[in-house]
Amino acid sequence: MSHAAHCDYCGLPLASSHKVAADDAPRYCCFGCRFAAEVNAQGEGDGTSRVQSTMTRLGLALFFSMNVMVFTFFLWSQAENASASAAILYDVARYACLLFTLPVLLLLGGPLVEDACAELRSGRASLNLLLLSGVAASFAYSLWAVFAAAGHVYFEVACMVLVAVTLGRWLEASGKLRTTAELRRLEKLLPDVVRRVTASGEEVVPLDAVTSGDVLRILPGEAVPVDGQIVRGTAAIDEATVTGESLPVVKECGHKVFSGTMNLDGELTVEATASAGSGTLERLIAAVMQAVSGRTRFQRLAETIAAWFLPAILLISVVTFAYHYTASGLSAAILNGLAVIVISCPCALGLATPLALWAAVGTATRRHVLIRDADALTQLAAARTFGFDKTGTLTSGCEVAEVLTAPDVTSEELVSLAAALAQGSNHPLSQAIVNYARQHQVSASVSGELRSHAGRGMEGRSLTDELVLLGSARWMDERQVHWGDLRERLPQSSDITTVVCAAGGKVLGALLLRESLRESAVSALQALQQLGARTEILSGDHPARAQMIATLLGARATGAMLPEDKLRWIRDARAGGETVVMTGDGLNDAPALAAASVGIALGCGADVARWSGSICLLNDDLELLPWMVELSRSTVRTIRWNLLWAFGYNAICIPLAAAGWLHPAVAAAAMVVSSLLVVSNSLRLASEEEHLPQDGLKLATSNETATTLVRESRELMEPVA
Amino acid sequence: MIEWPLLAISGLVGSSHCLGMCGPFALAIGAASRGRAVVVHQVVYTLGRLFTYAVLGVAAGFAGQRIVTAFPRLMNVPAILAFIAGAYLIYQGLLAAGVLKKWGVARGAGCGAASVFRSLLSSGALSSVFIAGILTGLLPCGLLYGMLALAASTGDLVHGGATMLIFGLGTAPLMIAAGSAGSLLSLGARQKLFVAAAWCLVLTGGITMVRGASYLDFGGEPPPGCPFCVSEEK
Repeated sequence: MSHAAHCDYCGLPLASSHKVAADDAPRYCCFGCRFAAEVNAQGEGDGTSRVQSTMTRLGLALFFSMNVMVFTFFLWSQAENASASAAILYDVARYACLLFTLPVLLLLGGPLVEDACAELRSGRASLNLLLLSGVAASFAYSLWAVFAAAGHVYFEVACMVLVAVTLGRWLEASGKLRTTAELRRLEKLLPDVVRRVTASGEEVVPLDAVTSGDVLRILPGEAVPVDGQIVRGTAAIDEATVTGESLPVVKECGHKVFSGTMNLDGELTVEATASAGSGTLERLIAAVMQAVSGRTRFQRLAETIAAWFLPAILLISVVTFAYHYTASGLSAAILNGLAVIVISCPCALGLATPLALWAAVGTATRRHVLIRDADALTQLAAARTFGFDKTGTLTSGCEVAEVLTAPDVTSEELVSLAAALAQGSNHPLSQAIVNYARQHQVSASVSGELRSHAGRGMEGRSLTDELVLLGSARWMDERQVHWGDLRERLPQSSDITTVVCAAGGKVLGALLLRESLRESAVSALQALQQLGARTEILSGDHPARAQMIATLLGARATGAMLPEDKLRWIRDARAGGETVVMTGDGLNDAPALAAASVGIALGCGADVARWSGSICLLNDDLELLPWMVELSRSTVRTIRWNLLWAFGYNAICIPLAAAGWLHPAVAAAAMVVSSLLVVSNSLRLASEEEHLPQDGLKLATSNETATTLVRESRELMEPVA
Repeated sequence: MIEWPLLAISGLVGSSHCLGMCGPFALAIGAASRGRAVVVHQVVYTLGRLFTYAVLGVAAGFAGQRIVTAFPRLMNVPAILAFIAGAYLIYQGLLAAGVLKKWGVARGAGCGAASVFRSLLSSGALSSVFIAGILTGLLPCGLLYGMLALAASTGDLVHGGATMLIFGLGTAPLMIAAGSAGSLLSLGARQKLFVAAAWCLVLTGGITMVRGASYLDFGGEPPPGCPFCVSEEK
C-alpha cells in the first residue's frame, strides 16, 4: 500500500501542511517519530552502531544534565555574603555548568535544529524554532554571565528543556506506534517474496512483481499473497483476517482465495486474479487507514483551536519577553518567554483526539470490527436508537421447529425421506431440513434421480420405487395427494413455513420450519437494552413474523417495510434529533445503512470494497455491537478527558509562565508529564479487553489448535461432499 | 555524620530488595558480556546507579536546605523530615515483609521504557551499560524514597549526596555479585534475605525516627550523632 501521506515511523497520517519532500526520503509526522525511528531502527540488523548512538545520545545528555543540576543546586544554595574562598568555588561551579552544558547542546540540539529547518522549509509555523531560540538565548546569556562574572547562569534551563522536549516527543512517538500496531500486524501477514510458476519452472520473485494472471505456488503454513483462484490442490485456509471466521475453510480447485489468509495444510497452485497491492487485505487496510485519516468533529474542534493557538502563543511569548525585559531585565525576559513556549508545546492538545481514536480503531480491528469512518466511532457513544434488519441480520436461516406425521409413519421415516429429497436443492428450507436430519442422525435414503420443481418442491423415488414429493401444501393439492387428517392439523400461524412430504399419493407428514435467530442476537440486544438503547426491528417481512422475532428479543418491530419505508423511518428519527444506528446486510440494506447516523454492516465477508456503512462486523457476531458501544463510550470519555486536560493545563500554566512564576525547567518537566498523561490515557483504549464476547473468538493460535480445527471442519464437510 | 556506617548497612541489607527489583537488569547485563568483562560491566552499571543516587541525594539535600531556610524558627524541619523518612522506611519495610498490603497495583511502565532498557542492556557497549545504570537509578523505588527523605533531612547538599552515595555503595556488593555470578543465591535464600531486609528497613526507619526525636531534644540544633552510636561511644 502507498505511504503517500503517512508517517514512516508510526504509520499515522501526516498533517496536510506537510509538503512532500524528496521522493524516497522517509517522512515523519513529528520530531518524536524521527528520533524514535532512529532508535528503533536497531532492531533491523546492521544499523546498530548508529542507533545505539542515538540512544546513547539521550542517555549521555541526561548524564551531563544531571551534573549540571548538581552544580546548579550548589549555586542556588549560595549564601548572600560568601567568603572569598567560597566565591572561588562558586566560580568553578559556574564554569563546570558551562562545561557540562556544551555536550548536551551538541547531543540533543542537532535533531531539533534539523526538525526546525525542515519546518521552515515547508513553510509551517514552527514552535521548534521558538524553542531553539529560547534555549540558545538562555545559553548565550549564561555564557556572558560566566565570562563577565556577573548575574545568574541558566545552563540548567537549556539542558532540562532539551532533555524534556526530546523525552516527551519520544514518548508520544512510542504511543503512536503502539496505536497502529494492529495495522502493521496486518501488513506483515503478506510475505515479501512469492513462488511464481513459469513455463520454465519456478522462480522466487518479490511480491510487488506479481500481476493478475500469474500462477503462484503456496506451501502449507504460508500466507496467500494475492487474491486468486485455486487451479490445483486442496487446503484448509484460515480466513480469520478477512472474514473473522475462526474455523478454517477447506478450499479446492476453482475456489477463490484472499490475500492475507493462511494456507494451513495443503499445497496450492493459485492463479492471481489481482495484482499485488490490490488484494482483499490491502483494501481492508486501506479502509481502516481511511478511518484514521478522516477528520472527526473532535479533531475539527482541536484543529480550529490549534489554528489560533500557535499565533496566540507566539504573541504571548513575545509580550511576556517584552514585559519582563522592561520590568526586570534580559535574563527574566528570556526565562519567562521560554517558559511560555515550553509549557505550550502543543503536544497534548494535538494528540488528545487522534491518539485515542487511533487506539480504539486498532482495538476494534483486532476484534474483526472494521471502522471506515472514525466519526461513527464517536457517534455510537451517544446513540439511543438501534434499527435492525431482520432476515440475515437477526436471523441466520431456518430451522425445523416441529415434525407432524400421519398415524402410521414414524418421524424418522419422514425425516429420512424428506432429507433425501432436500439434498438435491440449495433452497434455505431444504438446507434446514438436511441440517435437521444430520442433527438427529437420520440417514437419508432415496434412489434414482431427483427432480426440482421451481417454487414448488422436489420429486424423487423411494427405495421401494414409490413417487416421493417434498414441497408446499399448495403443490400437494396440485398433485392431488391424499391428505388424511393432516390438512386440519397444519398450524395457521404466519411465522411458520410448512413443507409437506408425500409418498405413493399419500401425505406422510409435514415439517414446520421457523426462522432461526442468530446465536448472538438475544444476548446482544439484551446488552444493548441494558446500555439504554431502544431496539427496533425494521423488516420487509410479514408483520406477524417480525413481531414474533421482536417478542423473543424484547424489541419493537415494524413489518412489511419497503426499502424506502426504512429510509423514511430513519430520516424521521434523525430529524427528531436522534442518533440512529442501523444494522443490516451490507449489500441489500445499503441505502438504509447510508441514511443512518452510523451504519453497521454484516456479511461484508471478504468483499470489503463493496460494503456500505461506516462499521463492518467481519464475523457477523452481533455481540460485538454492545462491545462497540462501550468502546465508543470509553473513546469519547478519553477524548473529552484528554481535551479537558490539554486545555486546562494550558489555561493554567501559560498565565503562570507569562507572569514569571514558572521556572522553564519546571515547565519542561510539566510538559513531559502532560504528554505522558495524554499518551497513557489513550493507550488504555488500545488494550480495552474487558467486554469481550468469550465465544467465537478461538483463533487458531498454535499449530495444535489449527490442526484440530481443520479436522473438525473436514468432518463437517464430509456429509455434504 | 556518625550514622554513615548505618546507612551503608541499610544499603547492604536493603540490597536484597534491589535484587528483587533491579536484579533482572543486572542479570541482563551479565548475560550480554563474557569473562572478566562481566565484572567490569557490573561495576560500570553500579557506577551509573550510584551517580543517579548521588545527584538525587544532592537534590534532596538542596530541597531540605530550602525547607529549613523557608521555615527558620517556626518548626523543627530536620526533625519532621526525619520522622517522615522514618515512617516511610517503616511503611516500606512492613510492605516488603508482607505485614501491610499495597493499595493498588502499579501499571506496567509503558511508552517504550521497556524497549529502551532492553536495547541498552543487551548492547555490549560500556556507555550503554552506564546509561542503563543511570536510568535504573531513576526507576520508582520505595526504599529509595525513604532514603531520599533521609537525605533531605540532612538539609545540606554534600551530606544529602553523601547519604545517598553511601546507601548506594551498600547496595553495590550484592548487585555486582548477583549480576556477575548469575543467581548466586537460591530463590529460597533470596526470599529469606528479602524478609530479613524488610525488617532491617523497619529497624532503620525506627532509628531514623529516634534520631528525629533527638533533634527535638537539642532544640533544633543537630545532635552529635544518632542515639545508638552515641550510646556506643560512651
